[in-house]
Amino acid sequence: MVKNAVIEKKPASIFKRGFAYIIDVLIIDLIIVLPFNKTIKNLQGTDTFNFYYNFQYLLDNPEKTAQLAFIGIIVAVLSIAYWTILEFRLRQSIGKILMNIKVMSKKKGFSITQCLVRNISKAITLLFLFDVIYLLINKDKNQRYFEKISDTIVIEEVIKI
Amino acid sequence: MKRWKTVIIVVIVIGAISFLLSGFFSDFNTVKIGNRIALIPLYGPITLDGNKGFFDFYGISTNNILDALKKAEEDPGIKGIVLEINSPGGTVVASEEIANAVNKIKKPVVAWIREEGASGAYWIASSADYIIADPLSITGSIGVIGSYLEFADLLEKYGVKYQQLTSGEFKDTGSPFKKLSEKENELLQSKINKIHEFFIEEVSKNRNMSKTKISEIANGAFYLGIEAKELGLVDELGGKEEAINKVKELAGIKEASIVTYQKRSSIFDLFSNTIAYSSFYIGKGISYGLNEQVNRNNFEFRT
Repeated sequence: MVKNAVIEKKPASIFKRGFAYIIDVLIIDLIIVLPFNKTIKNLQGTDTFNFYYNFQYLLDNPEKTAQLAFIGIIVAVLSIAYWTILEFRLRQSIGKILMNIKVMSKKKGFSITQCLVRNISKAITLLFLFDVIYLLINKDKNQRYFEKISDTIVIEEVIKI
Repeated sequence: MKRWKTVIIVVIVIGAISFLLSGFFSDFNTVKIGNRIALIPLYGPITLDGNKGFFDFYGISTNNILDALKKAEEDPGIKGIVLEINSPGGTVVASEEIANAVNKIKKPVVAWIREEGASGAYWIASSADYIIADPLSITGSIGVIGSYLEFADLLEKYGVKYQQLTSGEFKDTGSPFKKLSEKENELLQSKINKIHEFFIEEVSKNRNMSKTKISEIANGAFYLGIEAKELGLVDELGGKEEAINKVKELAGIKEASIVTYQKRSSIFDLFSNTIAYSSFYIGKGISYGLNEQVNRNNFEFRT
């Protein structure tokens, strides 16, 4: 470290956070969703996207809808586990490591509950959409809604000489 | 280094859990891609383009049905087709095109008539390998209609004159603004009779019944499902379950999942239809638009 260098912590930019999220989603797709791909295609009854399909198939076959919903829950739970465990242990998921940003607690201490609460919205698309809109509206605070209630923030460290 | 060690362990553990759970689901009551039955709904009046207006939820587009039939036939996973019919009929060519397409399909096709499967819709149903109808379904009505409203006397009452400027004696036959002459009446009636003959011939071929027998019942009358069964116009009385079981039987399969082939308009189609109609009417004038609508609906042959 250079003498007189100062590490400044500032809220991570939205672009870095966005790219980190995309990287994490790709990894989750690979390790969590991919093993279920064949089963999902079998349950959907087609292996290609069909314009005429329109979920009517699921309405006509409710037992398959239930199975698909169950798989969806498993994928959601494992996804949240990925983010929660990595952020609790390392303050960073893989995406955040690569974008050089990390999670920080705004209060004393850093619990796994905080990690769980800040990531829970990622399991439900509409909820996550609301979370992101909240972040964009409150750019000055640089927190998603669930980050606000979990008292966490995503920061980047800048070395100033 | 320690950081990446933790990352790798977490990724491996989560990946392993996902892999194990997916293995559990892969044998869990799934149907192989391959055993499927296509359900093609035919709801509403039959026209070539579906007669779509702003509220586009009612009407059969021949083009869409032909697409669906083609896709169902080409898909090796589809073992049979059920036509779910709830239609009063439609225009002649639109009905005939669908009936011909159904006739040509090499996979088993079962027509399931619900509330109504009359006229052009019955023509389509007759092309299927088997017809199932509810006991109280309305079916039959093997006939042709070309009726229209004529306003000649109304216009005369208000001093409005119709100026006939045509080349050819029969060029404006069927115009709602003038009375139908005897010759014009004979002309239109002869066309209707020809279409009716054709309709009877097609139904007789499809149902493997004599032309004489069909002609006797093809007086335009509609029949309830129970009556139609006695007359030989339908094969069985029943509903969806019977239709699915029959198509499985004809296809020689025991299990199959159902795939509904139905084109739904997106919100962009809805808006573009609205804009197209509005633009046309604004450009040409509302009265022109109404006039065209009256002309279009007032005269066409329908089965």
